[in-house]
Amino acid sequence: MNPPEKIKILLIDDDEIIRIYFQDVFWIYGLDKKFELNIVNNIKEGEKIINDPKTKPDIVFLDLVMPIKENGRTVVSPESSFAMLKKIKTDPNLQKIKVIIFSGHSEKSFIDKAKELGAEDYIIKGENMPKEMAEYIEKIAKDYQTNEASH
Amino acid sequence: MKPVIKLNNVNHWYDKEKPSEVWALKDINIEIENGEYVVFFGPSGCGKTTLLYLISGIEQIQQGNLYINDKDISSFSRKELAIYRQIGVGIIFQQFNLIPSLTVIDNVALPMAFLGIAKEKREVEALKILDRLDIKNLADRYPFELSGGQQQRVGVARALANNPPIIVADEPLGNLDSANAENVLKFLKELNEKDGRAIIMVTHEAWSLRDAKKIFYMKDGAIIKTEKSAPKTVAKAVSEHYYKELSPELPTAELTARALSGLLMRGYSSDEMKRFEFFLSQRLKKRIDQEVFMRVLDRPYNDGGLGLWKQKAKRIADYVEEIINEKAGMEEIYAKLEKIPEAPLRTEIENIIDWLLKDYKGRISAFQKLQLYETINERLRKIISPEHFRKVLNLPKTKFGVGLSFRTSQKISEKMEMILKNGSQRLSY
Repeated sequence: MNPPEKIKILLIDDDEIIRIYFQDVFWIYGLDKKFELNIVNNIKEGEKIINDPKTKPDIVFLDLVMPIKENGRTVVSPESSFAMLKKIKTDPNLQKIKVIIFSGHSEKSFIDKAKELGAEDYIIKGENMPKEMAEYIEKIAKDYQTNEASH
Repeated sequence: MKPVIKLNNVNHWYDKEKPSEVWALKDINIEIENGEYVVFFGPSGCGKTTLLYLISGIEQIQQGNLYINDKDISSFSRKELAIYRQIGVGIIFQQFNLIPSLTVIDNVALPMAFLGIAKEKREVEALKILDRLDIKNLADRYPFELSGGQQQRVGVARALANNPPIIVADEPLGNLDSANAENVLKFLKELNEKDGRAIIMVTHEAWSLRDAKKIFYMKDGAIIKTEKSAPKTVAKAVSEHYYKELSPELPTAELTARALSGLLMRGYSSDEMKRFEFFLSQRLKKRIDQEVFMRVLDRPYNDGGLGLWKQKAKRIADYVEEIINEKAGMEEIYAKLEKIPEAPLRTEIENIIDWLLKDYKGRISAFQKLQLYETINERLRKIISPEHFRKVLNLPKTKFGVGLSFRTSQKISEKMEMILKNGSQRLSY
C-alpha cells in the first residue's frame, strides 16, 4: 500500500523575503517533512500549478496586492488575486482547495471581500511570529484532513 | 536522535589565495543532535569562532557541506543566510553587541523587525521575553544605563527574539563577573533542558564547560577530540590540564597574542581585536612574515584587514617585531640559566633595560637604573612575581623601589611580561 499522500501547500507571493521566510518556517519547524510545499512569485505560475492535477494544492497561501500587467504597464492591485480566489471557489474541480489570504494589507474592505469570495481565512503579515506561523499551518492542514475524512 | 546540525568536510580559509592565507578550519566533520548542549573548546585562534559563524550563517561556507535540519546551507545566498539567521539561530555575543541608540525593548525587538513583524506585536513579544529574564523593568532604558550583567541579559533576550531552536553563544561569559557569568550559564541550561533548544557555546574557559553534554576540543583549526560529557568538577586544575594538553605553545603564541591585542588594540571592538589577535598569533608562530602582517593591519576592514592608518600599522608591526626579537633573546637567557642557574646576565639585562625604556620620556638616575637592573634580574630568575615586579617599579626610591609613576610601572611591567616565557599567562583575561 502506498503511504498516504502528503498535503500540498502552495504559496503565491511576489516578495522574495516572504518567500524565503515561508520556506524557512517549513524547514526550521520540520513542516517540510509532513507537507509538500510549492512556492511561486506570480499568479500566472500559481495558475499552472493549480490547474495541473499532479500538482494541484490542497491549501493556498495567497498574497493579495501584487504587481500585474495592465495595458502594457505594471500596476499594483489586489484584482488578480481576488480573481484567482473567485475562480477557485466557483470551479467544481478546485473549490475544495482552502485559500488563505496572506497580506500586508489590513483594510476592512479587502478582508470583507476575501471572506465573501470564500477565503478560508485572512492573515495579516507581521502579526505572526515564525513559530505561530508554523503552528497555524499545522492547524489548517489538520482541519483540512479532518474535513476530508468526514466527507 | 537525528542531527539538527551536520558538518561534512568543512574547510575554511582567511585571505584565500593571498600571501597571508590562513587555513582556519580543517576537515571538520561533526554532528550535533536536536536539543543537545555542545561546547567548542580551545585557545584563541583555534577556529572555534569561525565555526560558530558558519553554523549561524554569519560567514558563507567556502568548502564542504553544512546541513541544518537535513538542508544544505552551503549554497545559500547572503539573503537566504540572513533570513535563516533570524529564524533558525539566536546569537549571544561576548561584547553584547547592543545598539546604543535603541532602548532595551527595541534592541530585543530588532530581529523581529527584520522579519517584518508589526510594531505592536513586536512590543508584546519582546516584553514577554524580558519578563522571562526578569528585566521587564529595564525595557525603556538605554544600554549605557545598564551594568554588564544586565546588558548580557538583554543580549540573551535578543537572541531569543524569534524563538529560534538553536542558540549559539560566542564566549558569553568573557565580560562578566562570576555572579553574572553563573546566571548566564544557568539560563543557557534552562533553555536547553526546559525549552529543548540546542545550545552551542564557544569558550576557552574550562569552568564554563560544566553543563555541556558534548565537548569538541579544537586546536589549529581542527577538532582534536570529542568527549561525551563534561567533567563533573570544574576545578582550576582541569583548566590548566586541558590548556597544557591542548596547546603546549599556548603560553608563547596564543596568550601573548591575546595579551598584546589587549594592550595594543585598547578601545577597538571585539571583532577587530579578535581579528588582530588571530593574525598576530599567526605572526608569532611565524606562519606569516612581517610584511604580510603589516599589510593585513593596513588593509581595509571589509577586505579582511584591520583598517589601521598606515603609520599606526607600521608602529604596531614594528612593536610586534621587537617583542619577537626580545622573546628570542629571552629563550637564550633561559637556556643559559638552565645550564648555570647563577650565570651572570649583565649584557642581557642591560639590553632589556634599553628596550623597556625606549619610549620612556622621563629621566632615570644611576641609582634608579641600578634598582631596575636588580629588579629585572630577580624577575628573570623568577625570584619575584609579575605583581611584585610592578610594585617595586612603582615604589619610591626611599623604600628601595625604582620610583617610577604608577602608569609607567604598569606599562613597563606589561612590556616585560610580554617577552617572558609563560609571563603573559599571568595577565588576566
